[in-house]
Amino acid sequence: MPRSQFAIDVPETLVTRARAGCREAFGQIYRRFERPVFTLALRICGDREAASDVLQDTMLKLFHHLPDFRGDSPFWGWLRQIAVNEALLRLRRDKRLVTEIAVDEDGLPVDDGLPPPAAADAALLQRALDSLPPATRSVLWLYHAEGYTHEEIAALMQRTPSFSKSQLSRGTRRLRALLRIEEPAHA
Amino acid sequence: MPDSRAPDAFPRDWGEAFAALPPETPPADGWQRLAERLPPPAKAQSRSMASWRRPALALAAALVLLAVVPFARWPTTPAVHEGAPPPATAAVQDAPASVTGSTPGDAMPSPASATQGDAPLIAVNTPAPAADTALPATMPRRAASPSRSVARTGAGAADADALDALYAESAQLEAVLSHLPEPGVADAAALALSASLQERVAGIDAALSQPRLPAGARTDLWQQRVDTLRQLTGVQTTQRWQIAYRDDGPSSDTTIY
Repeated sequence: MPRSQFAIDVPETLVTRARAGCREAFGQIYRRFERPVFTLALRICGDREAASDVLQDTMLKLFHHLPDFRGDSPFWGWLRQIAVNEALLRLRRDKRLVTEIAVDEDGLPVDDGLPPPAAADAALLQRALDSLPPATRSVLWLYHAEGYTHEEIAALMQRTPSFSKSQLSRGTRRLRALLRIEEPAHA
Repeated sequence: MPDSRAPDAFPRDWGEAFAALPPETPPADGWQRLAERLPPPAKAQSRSMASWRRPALALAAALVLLAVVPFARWPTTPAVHEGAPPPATAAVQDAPASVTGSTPGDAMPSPASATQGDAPLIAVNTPAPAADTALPATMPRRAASPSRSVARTGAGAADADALDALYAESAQLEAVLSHLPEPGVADAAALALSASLQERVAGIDAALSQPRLPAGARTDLWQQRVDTLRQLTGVQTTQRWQIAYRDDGPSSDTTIY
């Protein structure tokens, strides 16, 4: 399982100072996590403006709730949870959280777990991800990139684990189809 | 020149492929924008703002409750709800402190940590799916139980069925809401009411994300979520109806539900 981009260790003293209201310490935390938060938000929301708003709202919420952080779990995980909730909340407000792959599509390749070689091309993979419905893309990202379980995704998206499983299956198959590159014909 | 597409460069699974995507660069002025929204650095002032916000929220919540009382007659037994206990409309008024006390739109993983006693602040965060204590909320933990499908007996089975019905109805109501057309010119009071109800749903969602939430509390929260979504659907449907029929009388936003 690849490590989440959020998995950044933060010195306890830095968190303590930020909790005490030290703006400079909070700024350091912001700098450490702005890219993971923005990236996650962009993967879920699909556009930079929304992702930028999510980054702002996440960090603002972090600032206001830092005194509640008790330190019995990793700081990055706590912040990631805020970011995921904010990104999904944004999708819900934009009424895009219900946009998903509704039915099984015939003709799509079966997913054997092994990504096609084209998945190594970041631009191709990113474009393919962008073309997925937001809810499907969110499930794929939370499962594959962040390591959430179907049960956790179901709780985050207020759906059932079956929903998460079906979206993962359908989304992965469609992703595979989108990444299918015709082999160039040899003379 | 080495072949960048050598077999070793290919991802072994989707997780590896996703992890290889480069991180995105946020807007350069992000910190500056955020700093403008932050309260003055003094700790005492920050605390005083927080203490001011709660009574204000309580007042706002009370006003919202007054406004949504007419919705108490919303049908409580939709078709998808077969087998589930009748929704308790009073649950809206009886929301737990964890929900009513949360900031509107609050999506904190553990908004009620101060009231949750020894419950861990969050535990969602470890990517290791097998770590039982790392689950974000009790609902997924419960659903994750391998014995769920074979060990549903008595009250537990009824509870699970009720939850399934609530999940389904919740998803259905969200689908209905998403398919409502944009209202165009809308009544400000109705818009404010819609926004309040949406904030309430967000608060309930935040409460549902708490770790180790007792099964009963989880069912109650899901019931409240469904009730609130019903109210929201009622408000937004009525709003569209008023616009369509140009019913823009002075009290139209509160008389039809």
